Formats: sequence, C-alpha cells, structure tokens
Amino acid sequence: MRYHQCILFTVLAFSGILSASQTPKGVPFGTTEQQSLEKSVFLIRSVKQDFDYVTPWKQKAMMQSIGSGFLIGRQKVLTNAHNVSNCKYIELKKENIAKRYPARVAFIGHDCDLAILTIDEESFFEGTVPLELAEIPSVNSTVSTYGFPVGGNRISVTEGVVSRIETDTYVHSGADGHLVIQTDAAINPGNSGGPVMQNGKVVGVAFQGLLMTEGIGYMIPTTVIRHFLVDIEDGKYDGFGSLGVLLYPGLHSASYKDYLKVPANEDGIIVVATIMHSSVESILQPNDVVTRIDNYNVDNDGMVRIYGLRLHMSEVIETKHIGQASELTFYRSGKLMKETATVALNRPIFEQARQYDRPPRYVCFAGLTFVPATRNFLETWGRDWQTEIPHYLRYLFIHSMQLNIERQRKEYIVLAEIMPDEVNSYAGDFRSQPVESINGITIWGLDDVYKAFKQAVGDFYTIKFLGNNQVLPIDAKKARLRHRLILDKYHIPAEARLEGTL
Amino acid sequence: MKNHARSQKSEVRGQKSESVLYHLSSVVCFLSSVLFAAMTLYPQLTFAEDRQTDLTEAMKQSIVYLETSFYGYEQSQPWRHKNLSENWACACAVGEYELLTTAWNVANLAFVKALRYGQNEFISAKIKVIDYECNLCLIELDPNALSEPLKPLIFSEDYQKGAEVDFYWLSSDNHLYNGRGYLDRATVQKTNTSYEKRLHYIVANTSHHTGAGQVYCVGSPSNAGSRSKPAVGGPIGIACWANENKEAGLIPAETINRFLAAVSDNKSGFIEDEASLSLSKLEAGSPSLEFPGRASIPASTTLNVRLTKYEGFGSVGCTTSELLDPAMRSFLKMPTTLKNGAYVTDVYNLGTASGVLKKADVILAIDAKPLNSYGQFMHPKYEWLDFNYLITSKPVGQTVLFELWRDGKKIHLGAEVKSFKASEMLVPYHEYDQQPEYIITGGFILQKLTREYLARWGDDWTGKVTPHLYHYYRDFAFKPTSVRNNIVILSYVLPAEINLGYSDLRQIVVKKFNGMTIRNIADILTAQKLNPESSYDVIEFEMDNPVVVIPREQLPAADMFISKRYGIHKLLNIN
Repeated sequence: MRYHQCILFTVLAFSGILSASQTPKGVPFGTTEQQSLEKSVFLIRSVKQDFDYVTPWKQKAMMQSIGSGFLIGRQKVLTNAHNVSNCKYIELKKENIAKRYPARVAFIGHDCDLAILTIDEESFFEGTVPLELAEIPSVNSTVSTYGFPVGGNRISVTEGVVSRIETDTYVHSGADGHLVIQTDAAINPGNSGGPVMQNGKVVGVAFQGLLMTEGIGYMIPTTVIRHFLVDIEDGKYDGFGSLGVLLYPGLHSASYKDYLKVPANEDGIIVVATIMHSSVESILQPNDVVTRIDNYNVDNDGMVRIYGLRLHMSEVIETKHIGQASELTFYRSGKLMKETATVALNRPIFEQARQYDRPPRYVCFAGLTFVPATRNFLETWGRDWQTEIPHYLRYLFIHSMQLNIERQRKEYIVLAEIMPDEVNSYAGDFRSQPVESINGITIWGLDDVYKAFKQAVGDFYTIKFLGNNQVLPIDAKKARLRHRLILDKYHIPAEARLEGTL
Repeated sequence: MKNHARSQKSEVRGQKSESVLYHLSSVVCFLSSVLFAAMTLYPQLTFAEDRQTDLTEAMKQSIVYLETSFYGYEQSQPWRHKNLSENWACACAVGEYELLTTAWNVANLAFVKALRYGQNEFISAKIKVIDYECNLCLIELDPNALSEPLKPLIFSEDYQKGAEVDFYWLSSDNHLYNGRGYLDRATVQKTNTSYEKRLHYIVANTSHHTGAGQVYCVGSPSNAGSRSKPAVGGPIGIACWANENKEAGLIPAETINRFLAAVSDNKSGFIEDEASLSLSKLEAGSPSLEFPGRASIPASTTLNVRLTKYEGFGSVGCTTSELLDPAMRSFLKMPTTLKNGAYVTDVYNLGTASGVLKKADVILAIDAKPLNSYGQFMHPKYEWLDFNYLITSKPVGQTVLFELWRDGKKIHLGAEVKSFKASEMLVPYHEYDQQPEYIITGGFILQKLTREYLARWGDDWTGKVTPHLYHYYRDFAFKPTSVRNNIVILSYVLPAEINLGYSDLRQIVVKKFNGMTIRNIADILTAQKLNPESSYDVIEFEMDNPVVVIPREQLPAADMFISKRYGIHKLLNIN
C-alpha cells in the first residue's frame, strides 16, 4: 500500500467552537432548495477520545469536533467517519431549531471515511427530507456544497465546479485509495460530512482538503457511498477489498513486452508480486501480464474505461464486495489464460491504515508492554515519524510484504514501553524493537506473547528481537512475583487485552 | 587577503562524521609542558638561542600553512567531479622536508602547496603516504624550493593530564598566532575518516575555536621560567576535530610515532616500549634539549620515507555491548564472582576477531588486561580506556590474547592482529581519492553502494534512505563473503527511448544480470557477455521489482546518444 509523501492532506474536522461562518451565496433565502436542505443537512458535534498506543490501557485527552451530515434513506444520517471516530458522544442539531439530539454510530467505514448515525429520539425525523444520490458528475459541471464550515448556526453554501475525478488516498485511514472528486467549491473544516449537490441530488460527500493550496477540495463520490450502503445492508460492514496484487506499468518498454512474449496488439499491466494469503497468490505469478479484468480492457498504465472515465483498474474491484469474484485475463510466457479471483480484504502483515474505535490490544508482563506493530503505534513518534522511527520498524513497515515469508505470521509485536521495576531495569535498550521469540517460541501474534509468559519455564524468560543480536533475559521467578505489584503500582487495569472490544 | 580566522572547512568536503563534532581541517601540534619544575633536575639548557620565554619563536620553523584544493566526485553523477573547492590547513614538520597533517585534510585532494614562516613563495608539495585509518598523512616538500630545511618536531608520549597546552597556527599572511587549553583526558573514539576506534586526547576549554591548522602548544609563554626552571615541553599530538564546547580532539603522539616508524627508516621518535617514556638517543654532537622523560628536540633529522608495504594497525572485527545486567550474567552461566567482561554482539568477516570470536562470547581480558563490564581496561597512563585500543594500537601481524567466557567456561585464544581496507567492506566506509565504481548501460546507472553514497541524503540520512539499502550498511557492511563482496544498485535511470517505461526506478538492489548472480560490480561486465544468442540484457532486482529488459541491438547507439545528451564521457568506471 502506498502512502503519499509529497502531498499533505487535511482532514476536515474542526476542534473547538468558533463563531465565524462562511458568507452564504448563491441560493436566496426561502427558495425550495434552501428549505429542503435545512430539513436534510445537520450540524454534528462530537466528543472524541483517542487511544494511547504506547501505554494502551490509557486514553488520550478528549477533543471536540464539528462536522456536517445529511439524511439519506430512512432514518439514516450519513456523515464522514472522521467526524465520529473514537467518539464518546455525538449530538445533532437542525439549522433553525434549538434542540440537540443525541445520536450514535450505527455503521462506520474507516477505509472509506463514511458513517451512518441513528438518532433514538423518533421526533428528530419529523419533517426531515432524505436526499437522493445521483451519478458521478461531469468534469466542469457546477456543484454546490452545503454544511457548517467553521461551525456557525446556519447552513452555508459554496459553489464551484468539478475539477477532476481520479483515485487518491483517503486521509482518514491514510492507506486506502478510492475514487475522489476534486472541486474548487470551498470545502473547509466543518464542511466534512455535508452533501455536495447538483440539480437537487447528491453527487458527493465533502471530506478533505489540501494544505497550502487554494480552491482544491475533495468529495467522496456516490459510487463509494453506494458501495458502503450496500455493504451494511446485512447488518455488518465488511469493507473494501482488493485483489492482492502488485503491478507495474512496464509494457511501455517494447523490449519488456517482447521479452514477456505479449502479442503486439495487446496492452496490459505487469504483475510484480502477489500478497500472501490472497486468492491471486495461487493464480498469478510475477511477469504475468493482465490484459482484461472482467469485461474491461486494461491499458499499459493499468487503466480501464469505466463511468465514461479512464481510471485505474482497481476501480473495477471497487464495484465488488468482499467475497465476490472477478475474472482476470492474462498472458504467461505468451500463453493466454483466464482465471477467477476473489475479492478479499488482503491487509498487509504490518497494518498500514490507521485504526479507530477499537481499544489497542496489548500484553503487559512484569512491566514489559507488548503491542502489535501498526501505523497507529508508529505515529506516536510525531510528525516526522517516517524518518524518526527505528530502522527495523521502518524496514518492516515498508517491506513487510517482501520480508515476511512465514505463512503463520499474523502480525509483528513490539516492546512498546517498560514500566520501570527492578526486574526490568536493563530492558531499556530493547524498547521499540520487534520481538522474534520468547524462550525459543517464535512470536507470530500477540496471543503468542501472552501464552509464552503463562508457560512454566526455567530460570529465565529469554526474549529475542528481530534485527538485534542481543538477548533480553528476565529472571522468571522474580518476574512472576513482581508482576502483580507492577500492575498495581502503575494502575494498569488488566495484564492483557487480547481481543478488541467496542 | 586570506584571514587566519576563516571558519571551518566548507561543507563541500562532503563526508560528515556521525558525531556532532566539527571536523578540523587543520593540523595542531600540542606541546606538553611541565609545570612542576621543582620536582625534577634539569641539565643546562643548550639552545642555539635562548628561546625559553618565547615558544612562538621555537615553533616558527616547524609550523607550515597549506593551501589545498579538492576535486572529489559526485555520488549521484559519478562520472563527473564536484566543483573545485579550496581550503586551508595546517601541517607540522616531522623531517627536514616532510610534513605531517591529518588525512581528513587531504582526502580527495587535487593539489596542495605550502607556506612556511619567513618565506613568501609557496612551496610545491605532494602526498607521500596517507593512512585514513589513523587519520594521518605524510606530505613531502620540494627541497629546492626551501631556503633552509624545516625544524622537525619530535612528539612526546608524555601524558600530563590537566596540563596547560598552547596552540599555534600560521596564517596565510605569515603570522604565527597562539591560543590555550587544558589537556583534559584520553579517550578511544572513531576518527572522522575511519570506522575503528583509536586513542585520542581531548583538550578542553580552548581559548579560541580550533580551526583548520591551528597549532596547539603546551605551556604558555607567560609561564616560561628562568634558566633553572625551563617551561618548554614537546608536541603531544595534532588536532583532528573541534566542537562548540571549546573542546578539541588530538591524534596523540604514540599514534604519530607508530605511523612515522612504520613508514620510514628513521627510528627517532619511535617508542618501542609503551611503558617507557624515553626516546632513542640522537646522533652524537647535535645540540638538543634533553630532560629525563621529556621529548628531545633535535636540531635536525632526516626522515627517510620507506614506501614498502604499509600495513597499518589492527582492526577489531567485532562489536560488543555492556554486560551490566546480572540476569544476563546468570543466563550466560557466569559465576557471581565473575563481574567483569564485555558481551560480543556481532563478529565481522574482516578484522582481528573474525574467525576467532563468536557471538555471545564474553571478553574477560585482552593481553591479560581485564575488561570491566563496560568493555574498558585500566591503562597505566590513560586510566579507563575502551578495549578497542588494545587492538587498534598494535601493528598488523602481532598477536593478541583473548580470555573469553564461552559456553559456560573460560577459554584462552590467541589471534593474529589483522586489518582491512575500507574497500574490502561489503559497503565501503569511504572511497577517498577514487572515482566511484559504476556502469551505465542503456541509461541505467548501476553503481556500487558505499556509505558515501548513502550520506548524500544529508545529516539524518539514516532515517531518510531506502531502508533496504540502509539495512546492508547497518547489518552487513563488515560481512563481505565469497558470494557477495559489493552491493550493486540501480541508482536511477537517465531517460531515453531505450529505457521507456523504466524511468521511475531508483535505489533498488541488483540480484542477477542475465541470470548470473551478481557478487560485485565487476561481475556486470562478465554478465553482459552471457547468453550471446539472446537479444536482451535482463536485470533482476531484490524485493518485488520489475525486470529490466535492454535490447542489445540498440545499446551501442543508445549509449552514444545518452553519453552525448547527458555529457558523460566515461560510461563506466571499474577500479
């Protein structure tokens, strides 16, 4: 999964309450559209509390957030996931009515930055009008955004055109890419979650902007929204999947094309590698050339013609749900082949996407705190985490797909923190290092750490680390004796959290 | 008009050491002085002139000013030189026509000329011997250009901790200046041109910032005594770094003397027994200043440089860590009475320890000198020193004795002191005075990975470079094998029609060329001749990367085009 290094995105959630609001323009007060929107677009206030990924029994300070949302379908308010992630409390307010309505998250998709809220108090829905979804708007057509940028009490309208439609990273998770629509209609903090309208219908949900630019805002297109809404119909959000294949646009080189024996009239994209455990792992090999996906022809950049636009072939997979199939047509050493692949989540061993809403898992034994290696953990190094994190963690984060050849590995585990005590006084050198084994038992996941410390051992727990020749021996008897005392001293409520609970 | 107070050597020099210290491009001589004159008996002074009250005068014939120009290579464009840059440095006389300075001062040197006190014209000079490992360089002057020979300095291995030291430097306009400091301590550390740790003296509280070529002298002129209480001492070292805390680091006399002894026939100044402070006698009849235990300053000495195989001094060949954790000692089954020793964390394929020590060994003593749990031993003169000193101060070929704790028992092992050149490393530490090795084929720049290549990412390059490249440097630099002694990378691609579609590839490691596993950059030349029936050169890379396919038929024309378009007159360089 790639992450952007050169462009900074901002997530448009605004903390604190400001009185300034955008000057409304365009739609005069009292018109039909204005009236229906006050019945459809709402101000959303939430209180959030992020998790601590280094001392994971704690939580960070609370923050306030303001965003927008709108009614979609029956008794469902659609907004951005980032407005309500890690939230403790949500409150909705209509434009001209003072009353506040507590709400809760019914479904949330962090990989596409969308969430559905429900309001328990039925009276909220009296007089409200759900908005309809349209198709993808054309480039250069006019759109209007509605929402509560920078808070305020009135719905603000800004107008602009559709500037561009392409695949890009969704900042909320940081590692998932989907279709985005770029517009120059002003999208500011507080706008996120609000509808972007064209001819009375929704063409997108405003959700992110671009730092240090003007006139660039982004919305989530209705294709992504529809995917989300269909997904949650069965009562559970499964997420956007992928094929699990690494591709390279190498056919631009006539020599490469000839070397791979691809017929002259065919275009396609070259397979470089497949992700372990994906369905394509047994179907595709390096140097296969994919020429068609379902009924779409793939060009030398890996693009297909879909929705009247030229988009990356992953867009075809975006139309499918987890478990659905896709037919791949490809050449291997000049031979034409067709195989069916299944769409799955295919997450990398070292999770590249930010996690929300799940308290972090951990094991704390004798003051040694072990957590799974995730992006959330790496981001505790601050803004420059990408260059500041220890080498081996960086190596694993970027290359876990190439470095891990063990099929039973679920994740990497890191010694995140040491709660000081005489039994772990010399463990400081090993902080932030990934664990290889404990007492010779290879650690494939957090559960293995828990089991290793529960086992009866000789004199020592010996912990070995990846990328490090030294061994950390912990006096076993002393550790077991002091374990409870350490938990009490640092007010650690539980020695482990193995399953995330909501 | 050049100003003596010009600042540190410019950034263009390139190499920045991993420490926060400045790099000195100057040579500094430290003279140690004895302040406790009452304790010793001194014979009559027999100077040619009475110079007790003015050390500056004494130094005038020994300190030289150097003007240097550099012409290194661009790592990212290894076919071209960096822009010419100039700097200045200091050197001191160790023979009538020979100068000593730091190797750092002359790394990637294009040209050097010298200026001595009292002579206006520059004297042409050339490098005779460079040892980057101990950071010393011997420069030879053209005797015909000197009106009279220089007055060589003899370095004294007398170590007076706490002694006042003076420093001097010759400016470009022929003035000798001086400053002051205190000899604070001895330490074992890396010098900026090498990966081994060697003995250095640290001078604290320097009165001026030690710049390029500032000469440190021990004893201030104001402390000069009378005829019966001489206050002059001898040079104790030359400076190689300075920092913002008013400290300066010196290459000590013993390293200098060993270096000079190793490169010349002249034994004067060479101390054979490290416990003794006396020097070998000079030729009879030459006037000299002699004190028991002091360095002699002869009136003249000729240094006969012997350029036979200079092997240098030992390399350690392993890394160690502290062994403070009692649980770790217990885990290693060491008895509780055994409280000393350092833990071997890694053993290299190069250096003294390779093939001798093993990971998880505990080094208890070296040459019967016990190591504490920090890996230090007690030196009679310098007190606690890092054990690396015991190996890096020995010439190659001597023996070193290890007392180890291995697999639950004590063993004794002897090892031959070995060293290695930076070029033998899997990822060479430096390639001074050489053009980087590279091959450009079809616009693909294949280059040998070196630390200098990685360092071009700036100060915090360790966090910025591609982690796969960095991991070779960090974990395998000292582990070349018969199946791999270089890391060859595709640095980047010079776009041309022949490489259409590949132009965004960069910093990936070459695995195979035409099916042949690449062990070093020279292998590429062999690999290019393989598979003569195939129309392509095929390059495979490590990690998940596409395959590069180059049409052989188009290569000659494409290479000519690229050479012309990008101004590359030399498409390959293999040393």
